[in-house]
Amino acid sequence: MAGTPEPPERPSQASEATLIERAKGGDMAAFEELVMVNADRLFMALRRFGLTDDEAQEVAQETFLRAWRALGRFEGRSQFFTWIYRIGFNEAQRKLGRRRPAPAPSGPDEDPLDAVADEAPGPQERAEQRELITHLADALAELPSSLREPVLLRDVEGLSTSEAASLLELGEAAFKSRLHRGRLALRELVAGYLPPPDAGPA
Amino acid sequence: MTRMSHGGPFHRFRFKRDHKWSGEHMSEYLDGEMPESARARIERHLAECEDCEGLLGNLRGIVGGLAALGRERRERRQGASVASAVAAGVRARIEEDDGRDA
Repeated sequence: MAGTPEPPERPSQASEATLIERAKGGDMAAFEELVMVNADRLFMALRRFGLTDDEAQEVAQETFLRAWRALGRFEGRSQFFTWIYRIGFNEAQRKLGRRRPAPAPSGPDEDPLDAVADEAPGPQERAEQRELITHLADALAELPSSLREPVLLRDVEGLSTSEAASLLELGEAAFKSRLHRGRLALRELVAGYLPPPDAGPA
Repeated sequence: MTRMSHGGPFHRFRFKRDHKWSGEHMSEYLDGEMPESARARIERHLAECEDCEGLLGNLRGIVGGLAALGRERRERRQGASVASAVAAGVRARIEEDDGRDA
């Protein structure tokens, strides 16, 4: 569990453009990669429109299918995700329209792309928290495994002290001591990114 | 430690002893995994030691940040499995269409 690999990050623009070109030429593996990269973000957007998990997954599938069929018309003037998003938005409207008479939870006059802009960094606190999280992830990797594993299991994965201790085959006292030493080591490593003392409980 | 201004030699001795002990047990206090008497001891010390109060605040920030990191990683894992399911569904539909066209 401690060594669970992280899913790959978004590919660069250049590789996305290459994938699109290959997909236009009928390369389904390339298109599948585009789906893998964009599906999660589209799914989250569809959930925000008010679709359930199952509906969002179904609509995401329908959206990519339409995109595959219409790929020849994608000229690359907008971002690929923006294009997908518009198709997805229309599909979601159709779905919601079938469900109830007044759909569009975001209001009919709103530009559907406003919701994309919402994903931009919010208030300062969130940006600071983001920075702290990034540095904590790096700092964790620097810890020796004897300190990293207790922190990962207890604080990142959210296991209880007794669950985590028994997984690591440690007594609770030994586990607590390592957990504390791990947190103290992280404190040294991320010192500059911690909230000021007055910021209140996290 | 700036708040420790009053008190005689015994108070200074106790303060130093509590300071060392509190530093070693602050995570247990933060996690609420401490017997009542130990909690009272640490709270008495926290009330007179800014360094330990700062340590507690830092640990709280770290634990909060780690929990947020965990939420993020779980969402990403869930996202990856949604993406796999969507991709598999799309592939099946495309292959179905191709079969029909052929």
